[in-house]
Amino acid sequence: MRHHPTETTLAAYAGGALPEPMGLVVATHLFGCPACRRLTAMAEAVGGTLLEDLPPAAIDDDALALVLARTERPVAPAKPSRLQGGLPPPLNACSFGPWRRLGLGLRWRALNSGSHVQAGLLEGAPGKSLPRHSHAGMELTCVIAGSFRDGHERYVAGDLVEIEGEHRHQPIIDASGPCLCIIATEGVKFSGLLGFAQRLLTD
Amino acid sequence: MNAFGTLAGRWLASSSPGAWAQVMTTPDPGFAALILAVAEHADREAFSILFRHFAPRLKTMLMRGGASGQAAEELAQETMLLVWRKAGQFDPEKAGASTWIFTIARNLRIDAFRRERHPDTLLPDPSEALEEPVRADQVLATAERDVRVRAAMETLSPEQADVVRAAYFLDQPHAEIEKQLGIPLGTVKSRLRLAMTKLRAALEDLA
Repeated sequence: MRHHPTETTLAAYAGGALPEPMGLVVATHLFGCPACRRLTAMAEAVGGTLLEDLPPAAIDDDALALVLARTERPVAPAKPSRLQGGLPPPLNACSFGPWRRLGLGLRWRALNSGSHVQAGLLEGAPGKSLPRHSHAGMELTCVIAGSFRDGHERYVAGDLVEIEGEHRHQPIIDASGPCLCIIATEGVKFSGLLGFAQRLLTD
Repeated sequence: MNAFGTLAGRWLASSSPGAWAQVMTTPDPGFAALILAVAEHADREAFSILFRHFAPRLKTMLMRGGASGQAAEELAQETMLLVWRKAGQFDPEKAGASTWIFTIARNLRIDAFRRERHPDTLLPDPSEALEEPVRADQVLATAERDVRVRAAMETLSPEQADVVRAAYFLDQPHAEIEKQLGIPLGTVKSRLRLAMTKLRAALEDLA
């Protein structure tokens, strides 16, 4: 694994400021990357330090009593998660739509995120290439299985590809096997792999 | 030491010798021991000390993130309720007390934000899938990390510190920072990157 999220993205993830679907892509990378987990832990410690240094706000007089009273009430059992087989744990309990064939050896499974950021799983058959495309905004992709090439770079399982702003490229899936990725993107049109998938779906 | 020092001292003076041993080995002795007391014997006195220290700061943090006074009050209370309920999961070898409480508030804020916009969707908390056993050699590293993070934070320039604070407390940080601090997005990102690089360098030789 050679491709990691930028430090600003990890800081936004640790601070809770990254849109959720993007957070899931980062979490998928973190699952397989101890180095980035350490950086995230550091960024969370920064958050703890900042919290510690904030001036206290006035809170309601009865706040402590209210919370102590609530600790006595029984806790509702957590809803069982709908586990999906074969996905990394951070994606395990996510709700995905059905697989849709896109043609050209590609299929797409949207994440039901409810966010302005669109996300989902994209799987491509060995040796297939995506049409050249461009996008604006931020896009995060994490390879779950298989590998692809884009220009001189090769991306394997665990790698995270972070693209920001105007960018043109043409990923080609390696011939050795299918490639499965989780993608989150801000743009709606001309937005990378997903924008391409969307256009195919809406055409 | 602030007012907390005396409160925690009073609590610790009346607790078992085991709690003292804990104190000697953790980065923020008082708070960590208090959370462990809540976990081990539902200690309401320990919880009250934690509440008086953290609830008002959580409220400030949430208000800086754009929440109204009332919403921030509710979320701060909700966070402290989770501190009580999840105290058994707190592991002082993995995170300091304030870091742990920060992540609980962060996750709650994400949940609240989602409920406001899209009540029907449920995404899991991805950080919960990342739980892993702690190696013995990480214990010292975690304690040392918190100390060094704080020291490194103090070496940031005022401009870098402003950007870091804003990045952690605002809802849509990068664009918001641009607006609030009146600096272009590119500058926000490069300052944040420099600050992170500085922090990272301070931790380089840790496990």
